[in-house]
Amino acid sequence: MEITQEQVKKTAAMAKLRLSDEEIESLHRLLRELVARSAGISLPEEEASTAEPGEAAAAPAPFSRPQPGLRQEEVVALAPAAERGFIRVPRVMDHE
Amino acid sequence: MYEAVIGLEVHVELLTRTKLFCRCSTRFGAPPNSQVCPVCLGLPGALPVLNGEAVDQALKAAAALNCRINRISTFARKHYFYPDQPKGYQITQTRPLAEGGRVDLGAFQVNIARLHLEEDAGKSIHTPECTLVDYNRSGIPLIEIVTEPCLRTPAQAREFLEHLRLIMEYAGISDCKMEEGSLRCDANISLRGPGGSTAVVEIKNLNSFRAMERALAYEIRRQSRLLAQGKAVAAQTLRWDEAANRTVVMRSKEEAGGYRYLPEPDLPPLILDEAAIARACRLPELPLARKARFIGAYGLSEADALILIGDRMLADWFEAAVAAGARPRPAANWVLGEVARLRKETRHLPFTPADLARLIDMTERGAVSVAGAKKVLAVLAERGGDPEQIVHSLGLAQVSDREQLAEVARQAVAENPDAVRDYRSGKDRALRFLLGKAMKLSRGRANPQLLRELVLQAIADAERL
Amino acid sequence: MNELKSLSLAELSELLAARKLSSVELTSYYLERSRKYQKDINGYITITEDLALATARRADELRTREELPLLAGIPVAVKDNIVARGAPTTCASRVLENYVSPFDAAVVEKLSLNPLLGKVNLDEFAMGADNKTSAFGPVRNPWDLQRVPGGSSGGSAAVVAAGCAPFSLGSDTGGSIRQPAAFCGVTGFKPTYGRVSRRGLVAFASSLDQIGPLARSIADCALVLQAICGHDPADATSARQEVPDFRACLQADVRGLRLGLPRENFACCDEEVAGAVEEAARQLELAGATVHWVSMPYRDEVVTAYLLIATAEAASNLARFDGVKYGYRGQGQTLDELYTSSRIFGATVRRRLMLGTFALSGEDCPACYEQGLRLGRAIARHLDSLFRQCDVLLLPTAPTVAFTLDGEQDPLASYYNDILTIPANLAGLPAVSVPCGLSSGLPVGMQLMAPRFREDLLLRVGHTWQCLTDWHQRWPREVN
Ligand SMILES: [Zn+2]
Repeated sequence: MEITQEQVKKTAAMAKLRLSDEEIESLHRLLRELVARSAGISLPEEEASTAEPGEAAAAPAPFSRPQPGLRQEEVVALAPAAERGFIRVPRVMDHE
Repeated sequence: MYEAVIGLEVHVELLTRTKLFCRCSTRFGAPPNSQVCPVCLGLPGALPVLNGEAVDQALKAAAALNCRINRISTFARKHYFYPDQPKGYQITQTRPLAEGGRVDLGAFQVNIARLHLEEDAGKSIHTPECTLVDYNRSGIPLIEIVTEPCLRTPAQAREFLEHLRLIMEYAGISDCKMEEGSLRCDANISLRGPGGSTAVVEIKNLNSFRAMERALAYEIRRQSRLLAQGKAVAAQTLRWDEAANRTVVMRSKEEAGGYRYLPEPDLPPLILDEAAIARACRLPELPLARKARFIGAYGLSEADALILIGDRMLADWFEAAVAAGARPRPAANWVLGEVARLRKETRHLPFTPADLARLIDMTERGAVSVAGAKKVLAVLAERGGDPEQIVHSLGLAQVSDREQLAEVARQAVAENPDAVRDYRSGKDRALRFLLGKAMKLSRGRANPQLLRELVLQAIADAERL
Repeated sequence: MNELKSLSLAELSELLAARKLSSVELTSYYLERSRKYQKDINGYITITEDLALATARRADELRTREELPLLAGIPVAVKDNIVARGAPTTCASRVLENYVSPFDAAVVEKLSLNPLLGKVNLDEFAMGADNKTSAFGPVRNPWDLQRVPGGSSGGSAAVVAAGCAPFSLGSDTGGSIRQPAAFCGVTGFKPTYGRVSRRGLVAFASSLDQIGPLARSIADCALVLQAICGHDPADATSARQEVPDFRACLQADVRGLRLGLPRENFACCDEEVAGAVEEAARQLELAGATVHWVSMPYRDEVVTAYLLIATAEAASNLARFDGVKYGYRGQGQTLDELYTSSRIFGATVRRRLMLGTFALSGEDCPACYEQGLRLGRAIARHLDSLFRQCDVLLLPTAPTVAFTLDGEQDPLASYYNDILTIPANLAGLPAVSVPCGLSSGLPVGMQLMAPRFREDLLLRVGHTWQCLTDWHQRWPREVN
């Protein structure tokens, strides 16, 4: 499949990354290579295994009482901007 | 004409002590960012651990909706950037916990496509200057219930959602408070006509039953109009604007390129053993079964039974009153009438179903009139107490003593010979007059049935004299 | 006191237990060396002197009252992608420049009586194999300051090689412990996936990441492994596997052990590197092991699988660095501007996040990530089959010795430097790099690989080797 520069830019938008033109150019080549490699994979069909060998099942944690986590002051101290205990970000323009 | 094809995606917050992947409290209404930890705040290096209580609650929901429970289900990350999504992804399930359920509502049936566990996001508050984020809700366990597009009318959608809420409440899975966001609903709708179907439109932000019904009705009108004008319906995400009473196009949270699902590498597949599934299937009585029992065992009408089961607290009240000795039908009347009214007024009930049972018993014995009993109940609602004592202290005790009332009746007849004459000449009003006089002589405390009998007796006796 | 740096952890432990040496003295000694070589080597991002001395004093004080664990009081350097309360965790990135974690990593909890000398340098978010991508400057190889220490645990390897720390912790996603250990002439041990809790390790590729020790010998690594391995209920991928007595594992020799040498993995290496490792195999043969040439045909597949899995998981794991809750926040009037101005990763990280985002986006690269996983499983199955022919795989750790700092490499070609180490991550196997020679005055590493949870085999072979040779006891001239 041919990868266009537009797709590179779209990917950058998804990843929330600001890229230079040179980066976009070099990534363009790299993504093409990635797609070619991915398409080139040919492996025998795997027997439908339910879980990875040796992989543990998720053992749900036993019921427990709530435990204290971080205090509001700690959360606020970590945040670049806060207001009345909330984390503040620029106004989100559209609803949701 | 066009037929609506409606499917719902319902998010239900599970009642658990702790969050889905950490041990933070799920208590509602705490100060902002006071119930968070490295896991639900997405701090670097934090890892999720699945909460067994949430799994059990989700399994109960799956059983209550007659779903097929998957012995192996898997977790995945659904990516999108949004301030209230602390990790840049939401942990949800790709291979769901359960599939293929069914809810039978008599007139129609709703098929459940899937039911899976996922975590809630934080809460954003939009002010004119900025957006403020509180992560207390981040990581609260949710189940997402997806129906097949098998609903045909807004009313059906509403009925299903209301019933779903009841089921969740009965099984103790969720408190389903729409106003607190513990029950949230999105709807998919398209119109199907002779010429095919329109594109599917998603409506979000349906945060009340009424909003859902109105939004769907609005969309049906809007889309029908578009079709009538020969225009296409765009596949888009809308939100219901309650104030404007219309749907508006919403900028999607979803990025172009989709949610980029990634099998969650921090959580191995959830493998359920038979014991866990069996445990989940031990459900308490669900609303429809209860309704059938109310009709069958208590002889209630379909209508009364339906209203009672729709309000779990009242239904419990009713059953407790019956258990305390009240006859079912008067108990149902009292619960649906006075008790419901008083609860609405006072927000809580300081008297017990046993109190009500005693009061009902007193009215049936004639020890207090129905009107008197209502007064007693009002006092009970206000400050509680003992029903008999209140009857006494209010002087509401009904006189059912034959001798005493016969004297009163004789006096009323003797003092009003004109009325007696009128009655004899066929004027029914005169009897009511005499009964009123007699009641007044008893200071309103006479058992009305008995008094009537004795007044008639007194008239007959006077004639013989 | 100059000889302290040559003592093994067991010897230091004895001195401390006998109160012939205090933890404060030992810690001060290493702090001084750390400061002294920091300018040349740039091994640390933060030297945490106060924290280290406070812990040292606590250990000394506790020791007057009770017997302490074997490693107590011995200072440690921790890779700066492992969180520790009270010290910054930067991941060598501007994005986390001033970030201080409010909680300790599981391994830091386990080493609570080990003075933290500092947080050591790495490639930004552990992405790289040369330590040149650190936002806080490259680490230099103590053996030749014009050369790289390897990566991404370059700081972890360099400070041990320079005698600035008796041992350190690193993380290994595609060779990030073993390759720098090889380049710097120290022993670097990647345990089985799930052996050591990842809680508190800032995730790069969650299904491949594993924490492990870098130290001056296999015997030292055994002691550290004993302290940090074990099930952690707070890490769902942590193994519920019994932890053996690793020290006891050192007692057994290699007689009767079958060593498998993957032919292709030698053929792709510099001649001197391949030669040194083959020579090591011959010496182990003399010590009683048997040597078998086996085949490891996967090459491009290894790189492709790693590329797809590691970048996709990285793109997901690094999504949380958005400037909202912590870390660096850029200027922005809109949400999108806030994100793009806050996610100021370096070029290598940006490139990998792009690859990963693309691999996950579906339409343009259908099932890319799943393809990577399938490929990884195929490679793991092949390794399983090799372990039916032999007990331990023996191969070079890296195709070359440390390269110079100024060289630029094509991004894709650079992945081929890791093809010898990546398979252990794809299969979750334990693997270790031990020094086995010098080539043009630079260390060569031999890699040993064993089936899952068979760290004991690696300890046996590695320790036997280190009993026979003194490569692991050499010091770079520059720091002696
Ligand atoms: Zn939490």
